[in-house]
Amino acid sequence: MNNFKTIYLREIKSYFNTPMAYIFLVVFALVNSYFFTLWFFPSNQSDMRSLFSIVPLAYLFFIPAISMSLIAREINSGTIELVSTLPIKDVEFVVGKYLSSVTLIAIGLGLTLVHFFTLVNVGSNIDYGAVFCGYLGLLLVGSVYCAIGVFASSISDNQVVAFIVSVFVVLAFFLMDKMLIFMPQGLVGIMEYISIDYHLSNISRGVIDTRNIIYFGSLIGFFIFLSLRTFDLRRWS
Amino acid sequence: MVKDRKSIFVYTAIVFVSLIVLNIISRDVFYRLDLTDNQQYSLSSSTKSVVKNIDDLLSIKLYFSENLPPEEANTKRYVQDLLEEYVAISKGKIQIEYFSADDDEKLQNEAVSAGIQPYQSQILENDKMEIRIVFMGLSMLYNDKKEAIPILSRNISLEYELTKRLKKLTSQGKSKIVLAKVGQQELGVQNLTQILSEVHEVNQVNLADGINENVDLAFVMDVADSLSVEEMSALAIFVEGGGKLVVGQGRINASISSFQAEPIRSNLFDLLGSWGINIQENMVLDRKCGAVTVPQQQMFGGFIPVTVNKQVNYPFLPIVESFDKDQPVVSDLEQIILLYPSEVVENDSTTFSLFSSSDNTAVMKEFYNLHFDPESNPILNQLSEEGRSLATVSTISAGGDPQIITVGSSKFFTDDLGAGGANANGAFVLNAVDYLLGDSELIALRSRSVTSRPLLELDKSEKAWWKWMNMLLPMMLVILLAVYKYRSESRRSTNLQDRFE
Repeated sequence: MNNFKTIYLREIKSYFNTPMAYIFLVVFALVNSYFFTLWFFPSNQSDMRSLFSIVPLAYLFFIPAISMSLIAREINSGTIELVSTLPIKDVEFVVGKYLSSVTLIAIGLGLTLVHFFTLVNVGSNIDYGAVFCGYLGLLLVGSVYCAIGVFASSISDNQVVAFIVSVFVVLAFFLMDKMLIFMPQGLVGIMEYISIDYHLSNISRGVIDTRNIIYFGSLIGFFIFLSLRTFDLRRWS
Repeated sequence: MVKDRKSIFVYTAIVFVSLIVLNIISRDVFYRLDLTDNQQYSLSSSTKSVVKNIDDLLSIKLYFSENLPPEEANTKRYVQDLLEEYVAISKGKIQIEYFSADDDEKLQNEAVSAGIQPYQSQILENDKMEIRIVFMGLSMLYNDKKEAIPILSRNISLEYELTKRLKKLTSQGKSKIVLAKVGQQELGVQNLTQILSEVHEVNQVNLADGINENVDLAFVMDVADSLSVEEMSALAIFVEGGGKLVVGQGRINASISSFQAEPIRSNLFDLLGSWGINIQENMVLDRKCGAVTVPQQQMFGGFIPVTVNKQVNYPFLPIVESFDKDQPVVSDLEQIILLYPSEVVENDSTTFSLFSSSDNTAVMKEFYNLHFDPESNPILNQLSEEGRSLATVSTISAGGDPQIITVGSSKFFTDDLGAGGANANGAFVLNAVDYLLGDSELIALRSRSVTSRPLLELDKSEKAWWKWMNMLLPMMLVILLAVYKYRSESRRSTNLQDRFE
């Protein structure tokens, strides 16, 4: 537990000791703010759907960018060999790094509370349950994308490769829902269930469903598991 | 750590399959927590049981136009979200297809032939509002049966409308309702027949011929004379055999056109009395009332007499707003209107009041003057008594199911005023039927509609302020954090420098 905490805090510090976190947060906030204000007032509706529809799109590139270096940098610089000699379990190492990226995403989402504050001030009949669930859904989607990012980062020592792999996998999950019309009828139900957007839209309307939570949990668990297994593979190669 | 390379893949495959199994199980065994206000995505148990009865593929086609105005776009989202809830509990039996019929003539024709009604609306196109023909409806197909909601407006109770139609599509047999005629009675019940026929099988029968035992519910209304022995016997056998009855009957036969009135002498009141329902021989007037149009003489130019029509309040048309909130059949109603109603007395054991007149009531007895002018009719200046019960729900035996709903107005269910004459009266009729037939949950659904959530009215400068605040504040917060971090790091580095120098 101590090792996990050390890795987690070290990674958080490394984000904020370099311009990386600030650049990410500024650009992330700018994109969200721009599209929120663009759609919020013309829609004339007291909800945050304009924000909740843009954040998953912003995630597509931002999360691979913040997660690409998590493990690939350690492999590239050789510190991974050093870490393997220390009494640190692989799971502590991977989960510590993973949670640091999720924390950065949560801070990014925290900045959008400015938009929530606006909604509270200029909206009527606000459905707070739906807003809460919307944020929960965004955090879960961000967590899945971070897990994919960690996995992509673990399979290569090249950060660019990790970024491309991560964008590709994240994009595949994201686009699956949009490609259903091209799918054979028999596959539609399965593909719909696999797509991230389907589960996000379920949660963000204000309903917490164990099926959605299990889906997100499964993806997070699976990609973290795959990251751990790539450590094993590297060890046996 | 895994012991060898091969077992890494085996281990991965096991975890992968386990997660798939977990997800498959979770599709059947799940729990949902609806955090929205009014629990708007929690389908009622009535809906759930209807969806459970679907044993074949039911296809729902949604036809929507793009770029709808905000209110309609909100309705569109609500419709989509609610339908997803139906899909979620249907275990794959309900399938939804979305169509945008804006520029596709073939789709538009298909929509119209499916029962969707195009209508004119203002839509946002190229940054300006334009009047366009839009589609916003849905059709349902189940086996070879079809149903449609022609226009999905925000004023309709969507879950009620959907569930009602699903029930109609999937039920093997409709409930049988009869409108019983007494003697040579001619019932003006076109509106009542129309709204009931949407879900039920409705027929008119002569009460003297008896009511078939497979009839679920009967209406008796506007009786002006005594029932024959056969009619009395048929009604008694039907009710005592468990049949449900809705009665629309006052004690005074009054004509709104001639302002004439006289008490009704009928053995029907004795029969109702034997079931604990006592309709009093009186007429209830209320200051909260509807208006009638009456001709009045006026002098045009000071010397030419002309007749003009004028609307005057008419306390013989009470508008009821006092409903018993403990009775599901009326708990969601806001207003209904009655014509020449009589008081229906409740008792403690088997008959309960559903709604009453206001506390600005007067009760007319023995001598009936229907004039609208307080100068000719002094009782109109004495509307200060407490409210009187105007409708009841009764059970034949204490503790039994509700079996009879009585409204103390003969014209309540007829075309003169009732089911079609006033929308809220129509809602009460449907509630009464659903309640007696055991579908009381459908009643709660009827009052559920899309909640309007517009933004507050803001002037241009306020809007601009909020826009800039939203654009700049998040970035400013990050920049402030960066500056704080930079300064604390600089301080730390200076301290270290000082220490080592």
